[in-house]
Amino acid sequence: MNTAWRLASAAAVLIVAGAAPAELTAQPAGQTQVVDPSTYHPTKKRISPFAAYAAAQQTNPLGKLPTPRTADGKPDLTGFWGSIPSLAGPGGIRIDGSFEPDQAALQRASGWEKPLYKPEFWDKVRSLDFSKVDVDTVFNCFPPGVPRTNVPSQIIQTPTQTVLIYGGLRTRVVPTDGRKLTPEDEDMSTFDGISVGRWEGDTLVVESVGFTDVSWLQWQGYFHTNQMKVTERFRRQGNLLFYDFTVNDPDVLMEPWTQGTLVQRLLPANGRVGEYDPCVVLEPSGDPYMRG
Amino acid sequence: MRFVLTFIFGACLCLAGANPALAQFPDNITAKMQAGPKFPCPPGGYYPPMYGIVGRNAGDGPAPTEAVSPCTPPEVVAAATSLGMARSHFNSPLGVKAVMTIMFTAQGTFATDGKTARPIEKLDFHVHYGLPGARLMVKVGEKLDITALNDDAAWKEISEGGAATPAMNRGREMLALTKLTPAGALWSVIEAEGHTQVSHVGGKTVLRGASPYDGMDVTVTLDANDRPESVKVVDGKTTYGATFGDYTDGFESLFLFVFPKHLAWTKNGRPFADLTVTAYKTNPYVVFPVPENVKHASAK
Repeated sequence: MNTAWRLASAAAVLIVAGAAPAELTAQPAGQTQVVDPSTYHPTKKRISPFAAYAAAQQTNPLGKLPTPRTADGKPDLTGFWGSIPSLAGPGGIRIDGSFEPDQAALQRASGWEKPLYKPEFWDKVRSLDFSKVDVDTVFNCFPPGVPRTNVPSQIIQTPTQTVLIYGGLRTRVVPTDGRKLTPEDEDMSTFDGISVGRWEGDTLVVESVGFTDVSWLQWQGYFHTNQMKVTERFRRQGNLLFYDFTVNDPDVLMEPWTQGTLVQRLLPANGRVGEYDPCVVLEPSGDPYMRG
Repeated sequence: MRFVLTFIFGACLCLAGANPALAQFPDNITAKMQAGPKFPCPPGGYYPPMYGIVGRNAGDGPAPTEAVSPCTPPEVVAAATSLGMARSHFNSPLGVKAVMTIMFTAQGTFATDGKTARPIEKLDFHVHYGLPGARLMVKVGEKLDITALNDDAAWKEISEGGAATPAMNRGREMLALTKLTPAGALWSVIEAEGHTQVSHVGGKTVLRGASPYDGMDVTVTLDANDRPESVKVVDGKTTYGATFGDYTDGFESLFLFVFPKHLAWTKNGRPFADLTVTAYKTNPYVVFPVPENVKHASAK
């Protein structure tokens, strides 16, 4: 079902019945206070939610746990990864039945780090953003693609390849055997790109090329060309996963765009990533709340 | 819509399995989830920001959102709620900054010389409250006057995002103008947190506070629906004023935001603008890249 895509990040990992491993249940799940409230005063400049959230996680006790390593000494990214509960607690539903407006408002307001399109494309982005949801290719049952598909729900790491599994069981297999991207790779036309990975210290860097220009970077009408190159970075620190991506698309962007770091926590190992129901294309006259 | 609700509830249940704190769903899910932990406001009047996570449409990944400060007066939260700035989604705490950017188009009068309001063909105002950033585009006859702001840098443009000339002396006024919008005024008293003064004058609620990020003294008078009715912004020796009328959700009914159809601005008591809004969007794509020549001028 098309609605499944939109909730992918929220419900990507289903935890099956059964006790969680003891080392996980014993862990605190939430972030800790970064600053002593009794001495806190706002800084001189505002900090974007993405930057502030990532900074706050530096003191999360989950990040201070030992980082498991594979036999070849690399950080082991293997596991299920999901959201970190808020220190402020669950806030709930402000107005019953107004999920979409609330979700859309929160998402848009958090997105400070907007891609800087060249001025001649600003109206195009707005036009796509203000259009009905059926303009968004995802709602026409196309895959979200990279980087829109974002941080995976499950990672399986081997010495020569890393498997990234997303909500709906969409899967990417990233070689880490030393191979390089080729000109033929760049000529491909794919939603997830042709990817290769390498380790830079403790960070897995995934470079991708060979994209279609059909997909968007994000749902606010952030289009891209087929010349786009994407660099993703995965870094495990204790039981936290820090993820960010950079889009380089000089035909339409003034500068490479890095969205901001996302932080996920390790979830119990007895989970599974759920599949989605078959996608159904929205009718243009569909629910207006499903507008992008 | 029914499917959406069902799916979201299902998603909640899935997350409940991952979070022991949510494992038992109460009969009244809304009341229980809104409760959350309580944090006392410290004597300093500010609380370190806390963040929650909301999933994004189409699997765009999680997005962090700032929770409302426990120091924020309930009257401010009520005002933010009335505009649509206060939002939460399941598993995310209440935030009151859900209007980060706006853009509106208007007709009427505007003082392009900063002194005398004259008829204009069109005015477009784009704002990013966080940066802060703004672009004011005023068309008078065939002439288009554009002023832009990004944090400490201000400049003139020959077209939207086009060639620029530094205009640093316009920065404070551009910042003040962002506060002559309903959401902009509330941003100041939201960021003042526990330092916001709440009073009741003539049966109306008055909020007064200064954002620690700019120091402008902002006074907001609310109407009977907790919406900003008038605003006073004091920046040094300059006083700006605004009145808002005819709030409507007709510009963006799908997202439950309201915006006035009429704005009147003053500067030191004299008319600065009288605007009838013809179009409005909340949280649109508006960007304010600082041109290289402006960066150099800003650095000097």
